[in-house]
Amino acid sequence: MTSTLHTDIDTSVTIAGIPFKNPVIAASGTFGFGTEYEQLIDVNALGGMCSKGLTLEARPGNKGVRIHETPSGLINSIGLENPGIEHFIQRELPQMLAFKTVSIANLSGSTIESYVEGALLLDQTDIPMIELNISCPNVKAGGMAFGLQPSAAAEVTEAVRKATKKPLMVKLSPNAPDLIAVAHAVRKAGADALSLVNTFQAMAINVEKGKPVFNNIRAGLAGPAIRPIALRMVYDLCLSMKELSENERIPVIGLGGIRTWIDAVEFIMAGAHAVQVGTATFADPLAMIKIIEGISVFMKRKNYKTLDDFRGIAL
Amino acid sequence: MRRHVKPSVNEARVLHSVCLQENIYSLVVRMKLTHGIQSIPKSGQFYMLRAKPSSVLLARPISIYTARIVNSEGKEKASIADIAKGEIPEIFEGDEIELDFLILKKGEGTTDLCFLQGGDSLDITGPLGNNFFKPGEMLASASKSKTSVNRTAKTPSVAIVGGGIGIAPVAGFALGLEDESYDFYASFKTGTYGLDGLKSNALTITTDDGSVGVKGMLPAVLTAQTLTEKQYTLVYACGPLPMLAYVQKICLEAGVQSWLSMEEKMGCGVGACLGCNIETTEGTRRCCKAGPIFAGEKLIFGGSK
Repeated sequence: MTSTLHTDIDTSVTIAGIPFKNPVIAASGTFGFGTEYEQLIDVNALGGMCSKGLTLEARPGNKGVRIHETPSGLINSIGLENPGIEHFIQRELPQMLAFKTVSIANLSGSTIESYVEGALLLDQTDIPMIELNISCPNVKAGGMAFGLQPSAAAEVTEAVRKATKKPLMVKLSPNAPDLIAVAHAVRKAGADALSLVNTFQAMAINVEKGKPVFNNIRAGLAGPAIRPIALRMVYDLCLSMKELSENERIPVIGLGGIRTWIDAVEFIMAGAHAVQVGTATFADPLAMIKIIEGISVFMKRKNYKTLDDFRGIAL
Repeated sequence: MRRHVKPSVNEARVLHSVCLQENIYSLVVRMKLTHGIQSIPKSGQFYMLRAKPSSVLLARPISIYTARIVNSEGKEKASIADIAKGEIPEIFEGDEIELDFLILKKGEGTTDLCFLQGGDSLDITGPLGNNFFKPGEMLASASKSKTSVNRTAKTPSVAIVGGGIGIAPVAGFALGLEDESYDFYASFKTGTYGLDGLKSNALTITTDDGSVGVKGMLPAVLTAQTLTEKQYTLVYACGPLPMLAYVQKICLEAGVQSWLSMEEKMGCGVGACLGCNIETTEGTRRCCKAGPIFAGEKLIFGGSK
């Protein structure tokens, strides 16, 4: 539907050696394993899709309220509910790989050892890329704990890097006191790409009960509400990449509240190689399809032949 | 014969929204049949609805009440009740589906939906979730406990229970059953709605304020003892969680199979966000995907939500 209309437009992008037909990737935790949306949208039209966050052992997720809508935002406390990596490899991965889009396994863990074991298992599969999740705010152990400080982030990245040859994209937390420092620590530890941002720590209070809405009190805010801050963080990171020599730079994948093609183009003009779309899909299952089409129309109007023609032009 | 249902993302036109009583609205919309006959919902399923424009980000899950296929001139060809009874019409180019929803105005999202007017449009995704199975369709999995009971008269063995806005899916389902093949219990705060066209063997109404029927709530008219005395073998229910917990309790006491339609806040409605998970005896289950209708004995009420 998208490519035939604009045959002279090339929306493809290569990240860590993996070709994506367009720069729009479904964000982890918002697209299941692809099958959840296949009756509603053409999953094959997407640039890529990230699996729900996976851990070595199956996790039941958090109890109590899990989602809470706020103005232009959604706070979630799912708690990494997932079937475990072995189940994923047996059951969900073959279905994901059957789609004609790049599948990415989002890997999380509670200890460095569990990250490494998970990576070793995924390394034996045909999954083309791993997204290392060091930014989930909704679990007690691990997750975001690894993503807040440069040293811890580098340590887990280095350990996983040794466990797999697969391209490794590390997903960063906007809650890090020095996000740029974490990003470069991870880069030096062997990351092939960076995705940012995961959710912002937030909370809500049930005023009738006089208690926090979520059992874990703090939860992660996503959606259009966070987009301008996410954009600034991606911009700052891409600015810092520019100061490096070309062989030191790694691609940045921008996300955070992207809902329309304009939002996506903003992130690319801020220097992102590709974007991820999350909460917008909940609000409109066709959001990513519309973004892909919108980028093509925009490129044609601006006479851009490739994404390189406008990537980072706002830097 | 099992009819397959396939969901789609659409924009629907609003025919009208009518206030039935304080905070209760009837919203009627019309849209194309994206997948022909497969776009026709089954009772118990729901759609994700969001007004255009809307002050909220996410669509709201609303169960269908009734629906009908209309031709290009807007004339009714068949209702989903007719289809449930086996009268499946041929679909022609230009036929559309008209959907009736009953909506409780509760927060911003439902307020936007209730205040829609004829000519407005809304985003609609569905039909989603599972559906109510008719008594005969469930013989294999359910109603095993009392099928051999010596029934004294030809009174129905099915009780259908609706509470408040939860009346919508069960009343819509009842419309597709044989006349007088069920008893219907309806509980409201005040007055009634959603009972049009019901051909129940017996209709028992309770209202909190006594404005219609028996003053009180469901326990005033339906107990484990009633279930046993009336020799019900199957109960369908939808309503507020405390009511569903009560229906589960009395059905377990009386050894009667129950199917309960659950309500939960949903992010996506299709099983991706894991926001609507509820506790069951088999672990947590996605209300939108495994449900919204669950076998009563499998639900765990009184969770932390």
